Amino acid sequence: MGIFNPGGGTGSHPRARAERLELLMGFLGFFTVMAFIQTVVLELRGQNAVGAALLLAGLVAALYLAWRARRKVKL
Amino acid sequence: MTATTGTAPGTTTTGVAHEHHLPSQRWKTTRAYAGLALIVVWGLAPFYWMIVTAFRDVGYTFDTTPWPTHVTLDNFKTAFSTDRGNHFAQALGNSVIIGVVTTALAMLVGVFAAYALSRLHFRGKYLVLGFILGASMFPGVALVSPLFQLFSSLGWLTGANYQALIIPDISFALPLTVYTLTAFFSEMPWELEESARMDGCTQGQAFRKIMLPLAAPGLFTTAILAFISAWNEFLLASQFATSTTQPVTVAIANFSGAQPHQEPYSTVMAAGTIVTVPLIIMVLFFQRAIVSGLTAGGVKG
Repeated sequence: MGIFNPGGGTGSHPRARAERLELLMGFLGFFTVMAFIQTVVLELRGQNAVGAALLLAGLVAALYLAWRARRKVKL
Repeated sequence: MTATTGTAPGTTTTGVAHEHHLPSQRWKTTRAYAGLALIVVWGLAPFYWMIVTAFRDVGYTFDTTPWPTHVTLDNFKTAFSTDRGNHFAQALGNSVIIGVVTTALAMLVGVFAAYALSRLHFRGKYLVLGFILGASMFPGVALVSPLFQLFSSLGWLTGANYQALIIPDISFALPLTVYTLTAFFSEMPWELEESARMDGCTQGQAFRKIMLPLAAPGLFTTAILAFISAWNEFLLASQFATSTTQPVTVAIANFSGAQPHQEPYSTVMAAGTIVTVPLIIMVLFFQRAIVSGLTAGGVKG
């Protein structure tokens, strides 16, 4: 068990699950912020931003699912 | 292994010691060592070939004899020579400056960040760790164009602007530093800090006088990793370095041969050998500091 493997060996523990989900949210959050910046920059420059926007939508959806799963965890 | 104490050899309690002599156990040990040897050979073979080629006469660069032949130091002289417009010695100095500054800044920030992440309990702590994990996985090539535009508008891509190389290097070294040190700090016995607090230390003093010296092995290991990452960085340096600030990785890639379009392989190998030496010296120098288990048995009673 370590800080980057929260609750290692006790996977069903609610706190471990919550910590893992928070870790996932942080990870997805970073790439969501990056995709958001890229989309905004492309839009402001008047360049094709479909790919970036779709990527952003996918990341936001994944982030929402992770957030919803985290909320369901009762500590 | 202490089970053998006070018991007759060959009895069941001596099984652990006895098993080592069984043929199956010996075969397992042999296989393990053979695997280790294979990994070591696999890892060191390119370096061995680099050294062999570095010491080989330029006329025999493509000689496939697996041991040194036609030994000469000419390649090393050529590597340091400035006749062909190569500035290897200056590039070595630049790499040292970039590596040391990057490591120092990344460690300075990383130590405090890692300590806070491992010691303090705050809302969204794992969110921050996930964010750092994401940052460490961000592809460096995606940063080249935006950073090039930013640095050129700031006027950093001319003259002796080392910050154009140091700042991107820190962005790569810092997640590595925080990541490694957080894992290291979280494994430390916090009772030592609590004992220091009970003896009258403030939290800052407990960190500075107790935890930091005990964390020295982890700090040195992390510093070496950060230095190696800055020392070996090529992608961004190849775009942002000027003739004054170029590090060794870029200088070696730009080596020119005796003839136009000729790749000076043996000179490159000699330069590669020289570049590896500081890393080996650094690891050997800090080897005494990198002792695991320094804190073992620190808390008793």
